[in-house]
Amino acid sequence: MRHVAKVQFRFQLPPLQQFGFLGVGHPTYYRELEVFGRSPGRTDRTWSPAGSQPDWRNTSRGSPRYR
Amino acid sequence: MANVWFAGIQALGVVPKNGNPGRFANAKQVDRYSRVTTKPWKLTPNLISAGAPTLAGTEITDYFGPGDPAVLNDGALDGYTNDHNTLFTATYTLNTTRSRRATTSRDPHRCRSALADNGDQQAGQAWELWYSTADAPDTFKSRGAFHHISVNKAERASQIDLTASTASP
Repeated sequence: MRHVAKVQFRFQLPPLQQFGFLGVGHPTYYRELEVFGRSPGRTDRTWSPAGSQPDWRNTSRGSPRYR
Repeated sequence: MANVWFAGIQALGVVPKNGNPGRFANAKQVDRYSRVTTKPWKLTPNLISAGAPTLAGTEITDYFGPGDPAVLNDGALDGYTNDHNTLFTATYTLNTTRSRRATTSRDPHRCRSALADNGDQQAGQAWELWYSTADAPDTFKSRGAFHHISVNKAERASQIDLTASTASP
Protein backbone atom coordinates (compact mmCIF):
# COMPACT_ATOMS: atom_id res chain seq x y z
CA MET A 1 0.00 0.00 0.00
CA ARG A 2 1.46 3.32 -1.05
CA HIS A 3 0.96 6.35 1.07
CA VAL A 4 0.08 9.73 -0.33
CA ALA A 5 3.04 12.08 -0.03
CA LYS A 6 1.78 15.25 -1.68
CA VAL A 7 -1.57 16.63 -2.67
CA GLN A 8 -1.72 19.26 -5.37
CA PHE A 9 -4.52 21.57 -6.42
CA ARG A 10 -4.03 23.15 -9.83
CA PHE A 11 -6.45 26.03 -10.18
CA GLN A 12 -7.79 26.46 -13.66
CA LEU A 13 -10.34 29.20 -13.20
CA PRO A 14 -10.04 32.51 -11.42
CA PRO A 15 -13.07 33.84 -9.59
CA LEU A 16 -15.27 35.65 -12.06
CA GLN A 17 -14.96 39.37 -12.05
CA GLN A 18 -17.54 42.05 -12.22
CA PHE A 19 -17.11 44.41 -15.10
CA GLY A 20 -19.52 47.11 -14.05
CA PHE A 21 -19.71 50.70 -15.13
CA LEU A 22 -16.67 51.57 -13.07
CA GLY A 23 -15.05 48.19 -13.47
CA VAL A 24 -15.18 47.63 -9.75
CA GLY A 25 -15.39 44.09 -8.52
CA HIS A 26 -15.83 42.68 -5.08
CA PRO A 27 -13.12 40.45 -3.71
CA THR A 28 -13.59 36.79 -3.15
CA TYR A 29 -12.95 36.92 0.52
CA TYR A 30 -12.88 33.36 1.59
CA ARG A 31 -11.25 30.30 0.15
CA GLU A 32 -10.19 27.15 1.86
CA LEU A 33 -8.65 23.88 0.76
CA GLU A 34 -9.16 20.81 2.85
CA VAL A 35 -7.94 17.23 2.76
CA PHE A 36 -9.40 14.62 5.02
CA GLY A 37 -8.47 11.08 5.79
CA ARG A 38 -10.78 8.28 6.63
CA SER A 39 -13.95 8.64 8.62
CA PRO A 40 -14.92 11.84 6.86
CA GLY A 41 -18.37 11.77 8.39
CA ARG A 42 -16.89 12.43 11.77
CA THR A 43 -15.49 15.74 10.62
CA ASP A 44 -18.84 16.98 9.39
CA ARG A 45 -19.96 17.56 12.93
CA THR A 46 -17.21 20.02 13.62
CA TRP A 47 -18.40 23.01 11.69
CA SER A 48 -17.38 26.11 13.47
CA PRO A 49 -18.39 28.48 14.77
CA ALA A 50 -21.74 27.01 15.64
CA GLY A 51 -24.57 28.20 13.51
CA SER A 52 -22.39 29.57 10.75
CA GLN A 53 -22.89 26.75 8.29
CA PRO A 54 -24.21 28.02 4.98
CA ASP A 55 -27.44 26.59 3.67
CA TRP A 56 -25.75 24.39 1.13
CA ARG A 57 -27.82 23.25 -1.80
CA ASN A 58 -26.65 20.31 -3.80
CA THR A 59 -26.14 21.11 -7.44
CA SER A 60 -24.40 17.92 -8.47
CA ARG A 61 -25.40 16.54 -11.78
CA GLY A 62 -24.29 13.69 -13.93
CA SER A 63 -24.42 9.97 -13.87
CA PRO A 64 -25.94 8.40 -10.74
CA ARG A 65 -23.01 6.01 -10.56
CA TYR A 66 -20.83 8.87 -9.44
CA ARG A 67 -23.24 10.19 -6.88
CA MET B 1 -2.36 17.43 -39.80
CA ALA B 2 -4.19 17.15 -36.52
CA ASN B 3 -7.16 15.65 -38.28
CA VAL B 4 -4.97 13.00 -39.84
CA TRP B 5 -3.44 12.15 -36.51
CA PHE B 6 -6.80 11.98 -34.80
CA ALA B 7 -8.29 9.86 -37.58
CA GLY B 8 -5.36 7.50 -37.23
CA ILE B 9 -5.86 7.16 -33.51
CA GLN B 10 -9.54 6.53 -34.05
CA ALA B 11 -8.74 3.87 -36.60
CA LEU B 12 -6.67 2.12 -33.99
CA GLY B 13 -9.66 2.14 -31.75
CA VAL B 14 -7.76 3.41 -28.75
CA VAL B 15 -9.61 6.66 -28.13
CA PRO B 16 -11.34 6.25 -24.80
CA LYS B 17 -14.94 7.30 -24.69
CA ASN B 18 -15.56 9.73 -21.89
CA GLY B 19 -19.13 9.08 -20.94
CA ASN B 20 -19.18 11.74 -18.30
CA PRO B 21 -16.79 14.62 -18.97
CA GLY B 22 -15.60 16.44 -15.94
CA ARG B 23 -16.19 13.49 -13.68
CA PHE B 24 -13.58 11.04 -12.54
CA ALA B 25 -14.28 7.38 -12.18
CA ASN B 26 -14.20 6.03 -8.64
CA ALA B 27 -14.64 9.47 -7.19
CA LYS B 28 -17.85 10.82 -5.83
CA GLN B 29 -18.19 14.52 -6.49
CA VAL B 30 -20.70 16.73 -4.81
CA ASP B 31 -20.77 20.40 -5.59
CA ARG B 32 -22.93 22.74 -3.65
CA TYR B 33 -23.77 26.37 -3.49
CA SER B 34 -25.14 28.61 -0.82
CA ARG B 35 -27.03 31.86 -0.92
CA VAL B 36 -25.28 32.86 2.25
CA THR B 37 -21.81 34.29 2.41
CA THR B 38 -20.45 33.06 5.67
CA LYS B 39 -16.99 32.61 6.97
CA PRO B 40 -15.39 30.61 8.21
CA TRP B 41 -16.86 27.16 7.89
CA LYS B 42 -13.66 25.46 8.78
CA LEU B 43 -13.71 21.72 9.27
CA THR B 44 -11.38 19.69 11.42
CA PRO B 45 -9.33 17.63 11.39
CA ASN B 46 -7.99 18.95 8.13
CA LEU B 47 -4.75 17.20 7.23
CA ILE B 48 -3.34 20.29 5.51
CA SER B 49 -4.54 22.90 7.96
CA ALA B 50 -1.84 25.36 8.92
CA GLY B 51 -0.04 24.09 12.00
CA ALA B 52 -1.46 20.58 11.75
CA PRO B 53 1.03 17.81 12.61
CA THR B 54 0.03 16.04 9.41
CA LEU B 55 1.27 18.93 7.25
CA ALA B 56 4.98 18.90 6.46
CA GLY B 57 5.13 21.69 3.90
CA THR B 58 3.29 24.07 1.61
CA GLU B 59 4.37 25.31 -1.78
CA ILE B 60 2.43 27.79 -3.90
CA THR B 61 3.61 28.55 -7.42
CA ASP B 62 2.53 31.05 -10.06
CA TYR B 63 0.49 33.08 -7.62
CA PHE B 64 0.56 36.83 -8.14
CA GLY B 65 -2.47 38.05 -6.24
CA PRO B 66 -2.61 39.94 -2.97
CA GLY B 67 -2.31 38.31 0.40
CA ASP B 68 -0.31 35.34 1.56
CA PRO B 69 -1.33 32.25 -0.42
CA ALA B 70 0.20 30.00 2.21
CA VAL B 71 -2.95 30.41 4.27
CA LEU B 72 -5.18 29.06 1.53
CA ASN B 73 -5.40 25.88 3.53
CA ASP B 74 -6.60 27.70 6.59
CA GLY B 75 -9.43 29.79 5.28
CA ALA B 76 -7.65 32.91 6.42
CA LEU B 77 -6.93 34.57 3.13
CA ASP B 78 -9.23 37.48 3.74
CA GLY B 79 -9.76 39.81 0.83
CA TYR B 80 -8.47 37.03 -1.31
CA THR B 81 -8.52 38.44 -4.78
CA ASN B 82 -10.55 39.86 -7.55
CA ASP B 83 -7.68 39.98 -9.94
CA HIS B 84 -6.99 37.72 -12.86
CA ASN B 85 -3.75 36.16 -11.71
CA THR B 86 -5.22 33.23 -9.92
CA LEU B 87 -4.23 30.31 -12.09
CA PHE B 88 -1.81 28.84 -9.65
CA THR B 89 -0.76 25.55 -8.10
CA ALA B 90 -0.92 24.74 -4.42
CA THR B 91 1.06 21.73 -3.25
CA TYR B 92 0.80 20.28 0.22
CA THR B 93 3.36 17.81 1.51
CA LEU B 94 1.96 15.46 4.09
CA ASN B 95 3.79 14.14 7.08
CA THR B 96 3.51 10.54 6.01
CA THR B 97 4.30 9.31 9.48
CA ARG B 98 1.50 11.22 11.10
CA SER B 99 -0.99 10.87 8.28
CA ARG B 100 -0.12 7.31 7.28
CA ARG B 101 -3.30 5.72 8.47
CA ALA B 102 -5.47 8.36 6.91
CA THR B 103 -4.05 8.77 3.43
CA THR B 104 -3.22 5.93 1.15
CA SER B 105 -3.50 5.63 -2.57
CA ARG B 106 -5.84 2.67 -2.19
CA ASP B 107 -8.11 4.63 0.04
CA PRO B 108 -7.69 8.14 -1.33
CA HIS B 109 -8.20 11.21 0.68
CA ARG B 110 -11.28 13.26 0.70
CA CYS B 111 -10.68 16.71 -0.68
CA ARG B 112 -12.74 19.82 -0.51
CA SER B 113 -12.45 23.31 -1.85
CA ALA B 114 -14.70 26.02 -0.52
CA LEU B 115 -15.01 29.53 -1.81
CA ALA B 116 -17.16 32.49 -0.88
CA ASP B 117 -17.56 35.99 -2.19
CA ASN B 118 -19.63 38.97 -1.32
CA GLY B 119 -21.51 39.21 -4.54
CA ASP B 120 -21.11 39.51 -8.28
CA GLN B 121 -21.48 35.81 -9.01
CA GLN B 122 -17.86 35.04 -8.26
CA ALA B 123 -18.51 31.67 -6.68
CA GLY B 124 -17.28 29.61 -9.63
CA GLN B 125 -14.19 27.51 -9.22
CA ALA B 126 -12.29 24.90 -11.19
CA TRP B 127 -9.20 22.90 -10.36
CA GLU B 128 -7.38 19.69 -11.04
CA LEU B 129 -6.40 17.35 -8.27
CA TRP B 130 -3.04 15.62 -8.43
CA TYR B 131 -1.22 13.48 -5.91
CA SER B 132 2.05 11.67 -5.46
CA THR B 133 2.98 8.72 -3.32
CA ALA B 134 5.80 8.21 -0.86
CA ASP B 135 7.81 6.00 -3.19
CA ALA B 136 7.88 8.75 -5.84
CA PRO B 137 6.98 12.00 -4.11
CA ASP B 138 7.74 14.20 -7.11
CA THR B 139 5.78 12.16 -9.64
CA PHE B 140 2.22 13.39 -9.67
CA LYS B 141 -0.79 11.53 -10.95
CA SER B 142 -4.07 13.15 -11.84
CA ARG B 143 -7.25 12.38 -10.00
CA GLY B 144 -9.27 14.47 -12.40
CA ALA B 145 -10.55 17.95 -13.10
CA PHE B 146 -13.43 19.33 -11.14
CA HIS B 147 -15.45 22.47 -11.31
CA HIS B 148 -18.42 24.37 -10.07
CA ILE B 149 -19.76 26.95 -12.45
CA SER B 150 -22.11 29.56 -11.10
CA VAL B 151 -25.43 29.49 -12.89
CA ASN B 152 -27.55 31.06 -10.21
CA LYS B 153 -27.44 34.76 -9.43
CA ALA B 154 -28.13 33.97 -5.81
CA GLU B 155 -24.94 32.01 -5.38
CA ARG B 156 -22.59 33.51 -2.86
CA ALA B 157 -20.48 30.49 -1.97
CA SER B 158 -19.57 27.20 -3.54
CA GLN B 159 -18.06 23.98 -2.39
CA ILE B 160 -16.61 21.01 -4.26
CA ASP B 161 -16.40 17.85 -2.21
CA LEU B 162 -14.62 14.75 -3.49
CA THR B 163 -14.81 11.40 -1.82
CA ALA B 164 -13.48 8.08 -3.00
CA SER B 165 -16.43 5.97 -4.07
CA THR B 166 -15.02 3.14 -2.01
CA ALA B 167 -14.79 5.20 1.15
CA SER B 168 -17.26 4.87 3.94
CA PRO B 169 -19.92 7.58 3.96
